[in-house]
Amino acid sequence: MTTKTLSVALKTNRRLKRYQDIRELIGSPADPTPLVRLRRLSTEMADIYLKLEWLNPFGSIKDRPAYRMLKIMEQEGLLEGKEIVEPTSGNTGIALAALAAIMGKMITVTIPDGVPEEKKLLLRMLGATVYPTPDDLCPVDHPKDGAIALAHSFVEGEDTKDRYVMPNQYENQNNMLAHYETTGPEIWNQTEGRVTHFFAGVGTCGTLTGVGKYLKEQNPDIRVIAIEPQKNHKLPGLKNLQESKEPSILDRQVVDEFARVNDDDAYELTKRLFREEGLMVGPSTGAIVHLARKVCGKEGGLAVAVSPDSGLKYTTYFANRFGGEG
Amino acid sequence: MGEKEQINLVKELDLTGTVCPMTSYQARLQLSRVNDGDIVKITLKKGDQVKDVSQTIKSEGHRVIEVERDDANEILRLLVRKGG
Repeated sequence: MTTKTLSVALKTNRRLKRYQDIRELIGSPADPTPLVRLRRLSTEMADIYLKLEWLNPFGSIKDRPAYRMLKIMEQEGLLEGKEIVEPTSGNTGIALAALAAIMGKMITVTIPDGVPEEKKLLLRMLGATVYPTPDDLCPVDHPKDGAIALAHSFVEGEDTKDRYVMPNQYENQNNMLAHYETTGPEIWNQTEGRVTHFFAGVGTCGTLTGVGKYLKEQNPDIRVIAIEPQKNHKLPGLKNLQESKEPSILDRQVVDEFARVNDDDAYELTKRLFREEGLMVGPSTGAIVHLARKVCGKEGGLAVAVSPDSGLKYTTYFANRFGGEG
Repeated sequence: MGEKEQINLVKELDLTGTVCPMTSYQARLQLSRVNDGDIVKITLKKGDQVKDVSQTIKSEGHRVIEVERDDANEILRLLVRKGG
């Protein structure tokens, strides 16, 4: 390879690059997370591609909104002299804690009790103060949203409000904008504009709204489908909107359909992704791909489904569900 | 306050500067750290958090044995016995 060719390759080929800052590895249109076809689990009618968001540097799709939210808050001087606090099912907390560690900031996270121990341990390893919170902590005013309500109480209580600042992923437009400006364009570019369906889970709804909005602007015929778990589900990161408050950043105008999935189907598909595709994904991916197969089995096209995180943080969940079978 | 309660009063928790559900969280946390039969005094601002804290106390198996009202400062002081 000539010196000139190598020089170009170093700038453009991610595998050859030297990075000065791990934040450069967060997905962007110049350096997207991979889109991988499901070789066995695509349907006869449609190719299903999985966007592997667990290849972001801190392990999930939440790296994107966490990075943007903190970057904007820092630019606006909101972080000065304050500790960050955030309610999180784990991945946003991990991303925020990693970024806070890089920035030299302190962080507290409130996290539902049911989240795997692996995630809580990771948060503590990153230096976060963790408040495991029962869902029914505030049964009168905030049923099922104890962690969110507890985080708000840090920034609202007289004793603590001047010491804490909350990015507030459920109401922060920068969550949605992170996906509008990065994930959406990446999917459009990687599919060369041929994407027909986009599938993502209902959580904070940043991905759904941001990617949905971007893709619809490119082609209004693209179908955007939201995957919602059953009530009392065991799918961390997803939310049933009948038992949890609807995030204000959700824009229902860009969602064509809300489809429900049960835990059994979600976990079965997760196992199939491990065993038939070699993809070690988290259970929310199983939920999303289950619905993608169901819809695309009838409608055809080129589908993109989000894989928010890997299965490595869910070994306890898998053990509980599948026992010794794994 | 009776003599028996004075002997067992092991902690005083001022939650007037916090809002729900931090009030319930701290009440639950601090009660988990004392022994059965011990008494914790919890001071709260009047408002919806009183209902949440009361429900938390009851659901955790503890008992409010006395309520002192301070209407001038709009606060309530609850004496709670761990374990009922």
